[in-house]
Amino acid sequence: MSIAAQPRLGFPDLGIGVGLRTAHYREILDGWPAMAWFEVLTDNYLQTEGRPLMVLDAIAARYPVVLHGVGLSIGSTDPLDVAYVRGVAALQARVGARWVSDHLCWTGVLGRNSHDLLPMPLTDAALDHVVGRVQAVQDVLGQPLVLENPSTYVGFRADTWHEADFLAELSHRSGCGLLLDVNNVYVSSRNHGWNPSDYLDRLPLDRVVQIHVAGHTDLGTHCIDTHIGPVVEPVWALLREAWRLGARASILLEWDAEIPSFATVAAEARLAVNALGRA
Amino acid sequence: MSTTSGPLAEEGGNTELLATERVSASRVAPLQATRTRTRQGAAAPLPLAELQAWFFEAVSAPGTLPAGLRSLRTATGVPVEAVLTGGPALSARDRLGVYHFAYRARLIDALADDFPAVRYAMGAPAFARFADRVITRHPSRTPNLNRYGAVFVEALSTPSRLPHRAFLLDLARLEWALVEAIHAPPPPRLDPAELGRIPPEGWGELRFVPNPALRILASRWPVNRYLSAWRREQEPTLPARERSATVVYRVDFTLWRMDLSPMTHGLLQALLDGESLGSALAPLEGRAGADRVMEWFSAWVRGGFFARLA
Repeated sequence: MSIAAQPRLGFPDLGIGVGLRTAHYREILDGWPAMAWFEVLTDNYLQTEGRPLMVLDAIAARYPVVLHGVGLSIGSTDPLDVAYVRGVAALQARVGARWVSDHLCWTGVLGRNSHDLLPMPLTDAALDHVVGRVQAVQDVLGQPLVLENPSTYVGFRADTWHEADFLAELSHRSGCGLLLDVNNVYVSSRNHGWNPSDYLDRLPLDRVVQIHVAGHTDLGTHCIDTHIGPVVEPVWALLREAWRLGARASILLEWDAEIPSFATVAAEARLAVNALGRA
Repeated sequence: MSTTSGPLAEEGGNTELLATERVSASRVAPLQATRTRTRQGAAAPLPLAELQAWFFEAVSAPGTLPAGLRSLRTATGVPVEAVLTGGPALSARDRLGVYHFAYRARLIDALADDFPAVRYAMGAPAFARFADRVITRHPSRTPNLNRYGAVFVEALSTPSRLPHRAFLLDLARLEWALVEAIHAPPPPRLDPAELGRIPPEGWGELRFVPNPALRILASRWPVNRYLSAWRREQEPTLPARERSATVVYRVDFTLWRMDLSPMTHGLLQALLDGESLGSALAPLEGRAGADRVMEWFSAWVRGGFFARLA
């Protein structure tokens, strides 16, 4: 069976994990708590040769890890930062990360970086552009790149694709996997007036390698993907729906603001078991 | 002990969570929905590269978004509504405002993570204003923010009318030294046994290669004491002038900072500058006994101050 035809592109189902955060280093290193796997923010471990890598080495020796980046800028019209991609590949090799993910976005242009996940216009030209760059990244990684649906706050007049269709076509043409962030589906659906169930229906869920759940901030007029607080019920419902539709993949909880103890974050992640009735 | 105070462990350090996906909830912009008239864009869509350049200019525009958009409209002739759509509850401008707010908030937060004591000393509003100017003059040009704080130190080192700039600069240098020590590679450490194999008559000619993660900060203010007081939530006020020297270093996972007396500062600085041990000790003749010098030196070797013999 070809990689493309295998569930999750042949990547393993790691179970339910949490994002590795600096605030939890001490609790993890001192107690080695039970956790199926960690997602590591790639960019925190690049451009450093010091303590962050020492901590990551220790954790990767005991737990499965995957790399999740915010700096690839796969949609930028600046030249692909090959040195960055090679740095990611080297980090993956160093810690044995099962896969590498980033976002369908761009972070900067003309040499400047916003450090934000800026929205892609959903056009044919943008699709062609991203497909070529994903393939270039995969040539360096030697495996499919995994791209996440972002939270977005604007739409472009030039858009001719629904975001879910854009991702489906991108995955089909480039061979990349998908990281389905059901919180982002919820947030973007609120911000754009989409139907989140329709969004899930449009995605090739057999190509979903990983799922994110997280909290967000609801401002009434719009939602911001802050990764704060517990996961809200509508997002758990989307997780259940995605699972029922066939997105049987590793699940990860992200918590990035007002981060509580590791035990609290781990307990929140375990709620996915209840949500899915999954052991 | 040789030093004016013992080493202090830095729990955590400052900057290891700079790459986050999202602006924190506490930094979510309060939006006041604008009532701009929506004009349908009649012009052809911008090519992707031009669109991204336009979007970045809008998002990174200094000052308020409306002012930035007016400048951008003047420069490009492209109105927001020709590029972006409104949403169920927000206009295109308000939606763009989410990104405009997040751009500066994220970078200011990153600098505040690196320089928390400087932020306290300046006061949060003044810090934000200064950081905002730094961000405008020095936009980030790398994929991550681990090294971005260097531009903040550079900006403080530029003469300006900023109150207490010289003190703030030294405090920033101390905080930045901690960041650099976090990210420095694990250094090779001089093996004390290697020293033990040197005959006493050969010690005077010894020279040492310093640990690349080690920094000495000399200041006209007691910046390390100020930093310690701030860490202990003692709400320090701006200190009076008093010369100080602080060494910053890392041993495995732990960062340390330690005040140096004038005598130990002079000796250590001379050794780090490549002087032989005999030459570095010469100014201490008659001021420090051999036992004291050996005590200092042993502590420095244990602390990994030296990578190897030169």
